[in-house]
Amino acid sequence: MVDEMNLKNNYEFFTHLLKINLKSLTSLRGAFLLQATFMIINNLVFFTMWWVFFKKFKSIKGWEITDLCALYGVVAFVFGVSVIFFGGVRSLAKMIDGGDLDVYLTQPKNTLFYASSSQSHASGWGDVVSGIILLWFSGYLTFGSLPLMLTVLFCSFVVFVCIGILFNSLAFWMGPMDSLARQFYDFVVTFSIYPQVIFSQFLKMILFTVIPGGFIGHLPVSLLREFSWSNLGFLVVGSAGFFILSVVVFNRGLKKYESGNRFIGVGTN
Amino acid sequence: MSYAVAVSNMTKDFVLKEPAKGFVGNLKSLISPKFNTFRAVDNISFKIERGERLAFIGPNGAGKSTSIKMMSGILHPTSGDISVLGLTPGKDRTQLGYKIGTVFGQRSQLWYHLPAGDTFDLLARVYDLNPKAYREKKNELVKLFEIKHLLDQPVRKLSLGQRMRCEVVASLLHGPEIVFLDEPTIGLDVTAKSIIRDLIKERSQRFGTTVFLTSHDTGDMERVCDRVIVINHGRVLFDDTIEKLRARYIKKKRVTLMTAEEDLHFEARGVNWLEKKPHKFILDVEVDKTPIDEVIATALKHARIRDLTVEDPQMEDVIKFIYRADKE
Amino acid sequence: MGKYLSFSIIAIKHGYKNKGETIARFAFYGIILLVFSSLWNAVGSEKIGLKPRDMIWYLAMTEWIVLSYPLIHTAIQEDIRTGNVAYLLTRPIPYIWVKFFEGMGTLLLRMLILAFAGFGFAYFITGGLPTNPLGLLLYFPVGIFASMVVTLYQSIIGLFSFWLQDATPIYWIFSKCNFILGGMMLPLDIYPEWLQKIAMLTPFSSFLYLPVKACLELDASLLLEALIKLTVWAVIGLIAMQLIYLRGVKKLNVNGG
Repeated sequence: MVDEMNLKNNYEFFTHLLKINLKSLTSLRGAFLLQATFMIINNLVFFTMWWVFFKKFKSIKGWEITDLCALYGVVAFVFGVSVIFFGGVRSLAKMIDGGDLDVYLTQPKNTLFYASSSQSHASGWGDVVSGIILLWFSGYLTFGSLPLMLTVLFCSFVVFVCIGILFNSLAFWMGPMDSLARQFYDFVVTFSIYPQVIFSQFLKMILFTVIPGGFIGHLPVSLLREFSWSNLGFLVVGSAGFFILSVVVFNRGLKKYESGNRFIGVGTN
Repeated sequence: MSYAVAVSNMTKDFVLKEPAKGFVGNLKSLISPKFNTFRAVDNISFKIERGERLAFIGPNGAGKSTSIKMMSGILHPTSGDISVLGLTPGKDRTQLGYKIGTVFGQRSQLWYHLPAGDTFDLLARVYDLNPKAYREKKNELVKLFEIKHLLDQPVRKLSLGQRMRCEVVASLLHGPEIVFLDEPTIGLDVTAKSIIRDLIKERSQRFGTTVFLTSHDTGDMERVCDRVIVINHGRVLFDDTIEKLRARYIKKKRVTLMTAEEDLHFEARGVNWLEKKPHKFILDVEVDKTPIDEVIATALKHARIRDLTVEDPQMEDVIKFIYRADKE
Repeated sequence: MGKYLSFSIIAIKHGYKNKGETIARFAFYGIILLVFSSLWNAVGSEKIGLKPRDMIWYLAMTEWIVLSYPLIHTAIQEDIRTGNVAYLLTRPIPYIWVKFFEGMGTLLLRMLILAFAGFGFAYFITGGLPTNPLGLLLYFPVGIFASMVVTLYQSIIGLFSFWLQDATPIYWIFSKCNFILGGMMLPLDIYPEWLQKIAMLTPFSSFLYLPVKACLELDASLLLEALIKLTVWAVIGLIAMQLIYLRGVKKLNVNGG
C-alpha cells in the first residue's frame, strides 16, 4: 500500500505511460493525423447544425449560440483529454472479458490506473483542438476566466472518465458487453451536449446520476455563464462522488475477476 | 531456510452456469439458473526451494494454468494456503509484484507497435528501478538473450521466437526472485524452443532465480528443470526429480542394431523385436527382466555389430503412461 | 438469386446473436428521440410551421434508416486484414455482391427490430401519431427502399478499402453528409436557401429528407420525386459498384493481396 502511495514513482510511471502511448500513436503517423483531423472536422460539422438551428430560433430558453458553443467546447475538450490520458477506459470491458487484466495484476502498480492509461487514441487530439476552438469562439475563454474554466473542465473530466469506468466495470458481472460499453460513451456525450434547460425534471435527474451529462456539460457551462458557489460546490462534490464510486465498484469487480468465475470453460488449464 | 513457494491443499473450484438447451431451457436458465461446480485444482500441496526449477506437466485442462494463476496472484484459491517468497499472492499483491516475473505464452506484455526496448523502459518505471542499475541489467540480459538487433524493430515485426525472447527478458528486468512461465514455448519451432529453454536455465543457474513453468511439452521439462510435477484433473500424479521419474517409469530401453549380417535373431526374456529389416533391427528390452548389457552381449555373439544405439523411451510416452495409469 | 439470398439469411442469423449491439441501438434511438422532443417543445417548432409532434416523428423516421444500415466497410476491412479476402475473391460469386447481400440481411433485421422501437418510442413520447398517420404505413416500404440504396453506397465505401488501409474517414464523410445534406436531425426546410439547393443535388437528400417529408405530409409529388431520385441513384450506384469492384480486384491481384 505504501508503495502505491509513492507519488513520485507513480507520477513518473504515468508520464512515461503517456510518452509511450504517444510514441505508439505517432509510429503510425498518417493514421494519427488523419484521425485527429477528422475528429476536428466531425465536431465542427456537428456544430453547424446548431448554427443552422439558431438562425431560425434565436435562443433556447435563454441559451444562445455562444452558450451552445461553450457546451460543445467543454464536452469535446473533456472527451479528448479523457481518451488521450485514459484511453484504456473504453476498452476496460473488453480487457475484463478477455482476461487482459492478468498482466497488470502481477505488476506492482494499481491495476485500474494502469489499465486505464494503457491506451491512447489519436482522435482525442482532434477533440481537444476542436474543443479549444469552440471555447474560443464562445467568448467564454478569457484570461480572467481561466481558473474557473480549468476547474470546471477538470471536474467534468473526472466525471467523464469515472462514468466510463463504472459502466465498463459492469463487465465483471455481466460478461461480454464490449460493444455496449463503447456505445455508452456515445450516449453520455449525446446527453451532455444539449442544454439542460430543455429537459423535464425527471430527465434532469437522470442527467445528474445514471448518465451524468449534467455534470459533464451543463453545469460547467452554467458556471461560466453565471458563477455561483453553490453550483461550484455541487460540481466538485459530484465529481468526487463519481470518483470514489468508480474506484469502489471497480475494486469490487476485480475481486470477482480474481475468483475466476467468469471463465466459462476458458480458464480450465 | 524459507521456501520460495509453499503450497498446501490448494484447491480451485469454478462455478459454471449449466448451459441450457432450447428456448424453454433458456428461459428457465434465465430465471433460475443451475450451477455446476468444476474442480480445476484438487488439493495440491508442494514446496519449492529457492533456486529450484520446477515444471508442471499435464495435458490441456489439467489445472496447470489455474495453478500458476493462483500462485502469481491473478486468481484466488477456493481453499488452501499459498505462500510465495513469504508473501500471500493477491493479498500482498504490490509487494509480491516487485519480486516476481511472469511470462504467459499466449499473452504479450510488449507494446505491439513499438520496439521492445520501449516496453523495457516502461517496465523500469513500473518496477521503480534505479536508472543506472536498470540499464546495466538490461544490457546484460540483452547480451545474454542475443536480442540487441531486435530492439529497434516494432514488436509486430518480430517472429514468435524473437518475441518470446523479448518477453522473457521483460520478465527478468527487475531481477525477480521467482519467474512464473505459463506455456512459454507454445507455438515455437524446435530451434526457438531450444534457445529459450537454455537461456532460462542458464539465467536461473547464474542468479539463483526460482523457476516455475507449466507446459504440456516434456522437452521444456527435460531441458530446463530438475524437478517435475505431473498433474491431471487437478491432482498431482507425480512429484519428484526427473531422475526419479526416469528411474521409476523407464523400465524399457530401445536398442537399434546395424549388423554386417543380413539376418539376426536370438531369444531373451523381456525382449520384443519391433523391426527386422536386412541389416537393421530394432528391439525393446524390459531392463528388469534382462539387463541391457546381457542383451548386447548376446547380440554380439550372434552377429558383427556395425552400429548400436540404446535409447530411453520418449518422455512423452512416459508421461502418457502416467496419465493412463491414473485413469485406471 | 437464391444463393445471394442465402447470404442475407446468414447475416440475419448472425445479427440475432449480437444482442448487445441491438440493445445499444435501441437505447440510443429512444434517447435521441427523447432529447429532441424536449428540444422542440422547449423552442416551439410551430414557429417554422412544423408541430413538435411531427418533428419527433420526422426524427424517428430518419433515424430508422440511419441506425439500421450496416457498416459494410468494417466487414470488408476485416476480410482484407485477415487475408480472407484472397480466398473469398476466388469464389464464383463476386465478393462485393456477397457483401452487399449480407449487408441487406443485416439491414432488414435491424429495420424490423428498430421499427418497433421507433414507433413505440415516438408514440410514447409524442402521445400519439403524426398528423397524417397513413404516412407511416406508406413509409414502411419507402424507408426500406431508401435504406437499401444507402446500403449500396455503404458497399461502395467498403470497396475503397481495397486501396486505402482504412476506409473509415470516407465513411465519416459519408455519414456527416447524410447528417447535414440528408436533413437527418433538422428538416431541410430550416436550412438557408443556398444550402437547401445544394442538398437537393446530392443523393443524401433523397436518402432521408425527401422520403420522410413526402410520407409525413402525404405529398404525392414529393413522393414521386423521392422515388425517382432514389431509383436513379440506385442505378448509378449499382453500376459504380460493379465497375469499382472490378478495378479493385485487379489491384488486389496485382499486389498479391
